[in-house]
Amino acid sequence: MGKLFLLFLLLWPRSLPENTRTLVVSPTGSLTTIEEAIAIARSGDTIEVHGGVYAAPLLIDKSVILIGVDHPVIDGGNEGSLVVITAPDVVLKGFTLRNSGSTIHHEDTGIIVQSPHVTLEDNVLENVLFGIYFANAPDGIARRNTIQGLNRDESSRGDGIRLWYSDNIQIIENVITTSRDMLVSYSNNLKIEGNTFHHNRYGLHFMYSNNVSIRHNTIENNSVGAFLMYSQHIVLEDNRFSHNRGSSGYGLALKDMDGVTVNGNVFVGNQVGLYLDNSPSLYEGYNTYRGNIFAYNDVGVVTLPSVERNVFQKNNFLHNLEHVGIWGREIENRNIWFQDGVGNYWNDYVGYDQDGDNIGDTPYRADRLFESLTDRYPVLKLFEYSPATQAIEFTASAFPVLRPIPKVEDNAPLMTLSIPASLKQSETSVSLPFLALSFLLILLALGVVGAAGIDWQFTKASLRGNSMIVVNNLVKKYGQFNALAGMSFTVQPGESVALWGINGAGKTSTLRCLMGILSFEGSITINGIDVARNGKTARAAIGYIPQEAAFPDLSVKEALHFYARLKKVSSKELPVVLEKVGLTEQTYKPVWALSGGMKQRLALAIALLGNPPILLLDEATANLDTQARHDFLNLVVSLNRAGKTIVFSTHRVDEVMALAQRVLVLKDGQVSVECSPGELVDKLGLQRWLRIWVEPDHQSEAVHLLQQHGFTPVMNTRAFYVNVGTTGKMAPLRILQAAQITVNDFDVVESKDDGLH
Amino acid sequence: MDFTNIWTVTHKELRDALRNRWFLLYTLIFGGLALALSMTAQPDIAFTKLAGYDRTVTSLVNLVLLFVPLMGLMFGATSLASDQETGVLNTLLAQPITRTEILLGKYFGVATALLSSLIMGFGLAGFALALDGGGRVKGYAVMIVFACLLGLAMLSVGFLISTISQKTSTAVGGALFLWLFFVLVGDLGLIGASIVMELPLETTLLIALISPLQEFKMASISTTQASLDALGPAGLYADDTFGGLFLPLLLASLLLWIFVPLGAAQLVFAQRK
Repeated sequence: MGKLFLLFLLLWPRSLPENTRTLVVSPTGSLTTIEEAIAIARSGDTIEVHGGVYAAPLLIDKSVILIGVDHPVIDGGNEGSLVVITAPDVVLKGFTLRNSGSTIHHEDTGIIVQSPHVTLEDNVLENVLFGIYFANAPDGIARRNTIQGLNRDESSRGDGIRLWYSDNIQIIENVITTSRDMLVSYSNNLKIEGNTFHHNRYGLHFMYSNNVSIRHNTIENNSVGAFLMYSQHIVLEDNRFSHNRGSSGYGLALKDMDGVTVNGNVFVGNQVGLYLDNSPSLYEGYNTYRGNIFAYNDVGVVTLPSVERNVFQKNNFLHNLEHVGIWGREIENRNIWFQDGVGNYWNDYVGYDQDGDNIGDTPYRADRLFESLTDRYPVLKLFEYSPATQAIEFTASAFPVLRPIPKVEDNAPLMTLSIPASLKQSETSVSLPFLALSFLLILLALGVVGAAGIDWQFTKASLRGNSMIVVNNLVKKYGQFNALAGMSFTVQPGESVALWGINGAGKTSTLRCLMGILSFEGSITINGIDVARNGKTARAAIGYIPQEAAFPDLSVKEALHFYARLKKVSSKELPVVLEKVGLTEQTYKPVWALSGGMKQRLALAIALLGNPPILLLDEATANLDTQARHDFLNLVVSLNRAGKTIVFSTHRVDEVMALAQRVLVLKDGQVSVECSPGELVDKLGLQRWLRIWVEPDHQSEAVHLLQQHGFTPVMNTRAFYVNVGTTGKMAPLRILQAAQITVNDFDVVESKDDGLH
Repeated sequence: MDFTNIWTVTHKELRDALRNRWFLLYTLIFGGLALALSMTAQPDIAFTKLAGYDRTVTSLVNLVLLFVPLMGLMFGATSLASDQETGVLNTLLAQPITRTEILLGKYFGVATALLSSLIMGFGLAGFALALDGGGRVKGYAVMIVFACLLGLAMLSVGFLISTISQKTSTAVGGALFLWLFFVLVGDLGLIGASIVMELPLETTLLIALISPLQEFKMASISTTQASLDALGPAGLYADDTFGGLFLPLLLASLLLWIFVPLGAAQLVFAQRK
């Protein structure tokens, strides 16, 4: 075909021009408009148009060669078409054409070609509705032109290039952008090579055009890369279809296409790399796809269910979310995925190649369940990237019955990838913005870690002076249950008051209300502060020691420091408080390593921070052993002597005796009795036993004597027990002394069954 | 409201968290996986000209979807419940501090720790991405912001669980259940419902958008890949319907997910009084 064309050119009489001239047009020359030059030009003349702005529309109705020197501009002032060529053999080269009209139904165009053998070269078309329009204009060439359409809604743009009944056109190395389509209809024997189509609606849009070579084009960021329909014998080679993602988002789409060869193209980042609809359409036809790369597309290849007889061989399928999809009802894919023992490369193929022939020993099957679900229900793509989709795949692989029919069965999958050298990147460049961001992030994270160690000093808050507790008609309900039912009492400064009662009598609730950490009815005043209204300030006057103090996982010093800051106490006070409770040596120990007694002392230390006038103890010694309890009580007694007001709850008589000056006996959420510690023992019928050791010879005499004085001694091996109430401990000893019976030893116990107390 | 009190508790919580082995473990796993994903996803193809960046970022999205909710829910759930159980809370409440201050202080502390853990992971991954040529920095930054918001939202939910639970074990159980629900059960249920009940596209999208995980996912996809078309027709519908408002809407919705559960947690915690 090409040779015939050349012969044709050689025999054509115009190839022997005679007496051709060169006319010069410039704003300052003798010819100031192009129209004037054309008017006087003869066929074959050259018109040099120098820099300047010339008015459109320009009609070229003679076979002249128009050469732009220094970028002459033809400006349409946003009206109508710019250049119309009606003569054959015209060359238009080196012009800038801009600002056509923008009315779609007028088809306002940059260059309209209506005659054969027209060459358009190195022109720049800006802000034009349609770019170049070959209408019944065969044998034309558009080379190295740049066409930039009107940047408006895709469907209301014009076509960048349009071919209409124009055969043998060559579209070479043009750049077409922000247009609707390059639209080709009823035009055969075309060569479309080395062009770049970007940010158009359709890069290429074909119908009824046969024998087309599409090579080395870059088609990217369009809604659809190329949509080819109703045509035959198309070769697509070494093109790059990338990131075409619009409402359809195909890289290359073929509808009713026959005799198509697609070799060595790259399909990357499209919604669908290759879309096949009824192609091939002829029963005996095959389309072939070899050595292409389908990478990072949402779906590599999509076919409609009826599509068959497409041969895929030596293609590389890489990291598509879905390599092959069948849209519509699920059906076995009847395309050919291997031929002559050679298939395709699939990056998710996990087979093995024992004989080293680069062909996997087991077939590759695309049978992912979620894929087949999204093929049938596209809306489910919404869940792409969600862990739920992996769960679905996992389930399907665990229960093969759920697995769909494989969409692809490639019995000879390739083991290695074959990528053209042009695509290999010899070196990767470091992304500086990314590096900067990463540095920033890591610095930020490290900064937080660092800041966590910084110590901030806070000033100590001043405390108010009055240290008195007034509780009036205190009621606390937990649902229907009345934990406290109208309790009233007062505590004087420096006083030590015990709250006595069985479990559930309301001791802990009372203490928590005093601190204002439970809501309540009635009123409580602490140190002159209304607890209900300002619990937080009231708590500044209170040190609280719970039954079993718990601390965050810190060292003694850190724990103390933490609470010191909450209480706005200077850290200088910490060593003083630690010394006061005898924990100086434990300063740097972790809290969890302390014994129970030490933990309670730490709780006391925390309570003492800020020197609060009131200490509240909630069965603070209940979990301590005898020695620790003794030491702890001594500490609290000394604090009380030093002027602290103390309210504590307990069930232990010895604690009451040792620490309390007054006892409030709680029953059913009220103060049932208020008394002294001694009276408590009596009122409760609590008894003391004197255990007395005398010489064995005097034992029976002593017992008899005591019985005479109204006691009821009980013998127990070497000692005897005498019930002495709470106040008459000396009486039995005096009686024995008067009778000159030597008392070797004695002690006081709470029960005659008790051991030493 | 006493900000020095809040700060004191925040500071203590932060130190606690940074010393907590679980926390370090989560940070290491998250950072390690993010780094590994970024390093392995790229050189797999010797030709980064084909831009594997998008795919790497989406695998990071997947990692965030699995991991960040787990971190947020667990840290949140254990925060107050364990203090309640061990009695630390009792001692703390006895100090001159309000419940609100305690809750906020704890939230800020754990949140700071969580966020620093996340940005450390993203920072490491970012290095690997940078050395391989990188991609859209802005998209990556937006993804990080949304991942952090997702973490905070899950932390708030965790705090709510924590205030409701009396025991740490109950709180952890609740957190794991919710994690499973957010990550798997919810989506699976919606997938099932969408198929069986033939839900219209808008309904499926709107229901999906209730989930903070989906909100994060869509925000990340729409910024790292410039459009939501990777999510099929529902993604395109979202793009068309909301357009430029989509991201602000997702942002607002995630903020709701942060503030509403935290507010509820505050109410419950105050009611405990």
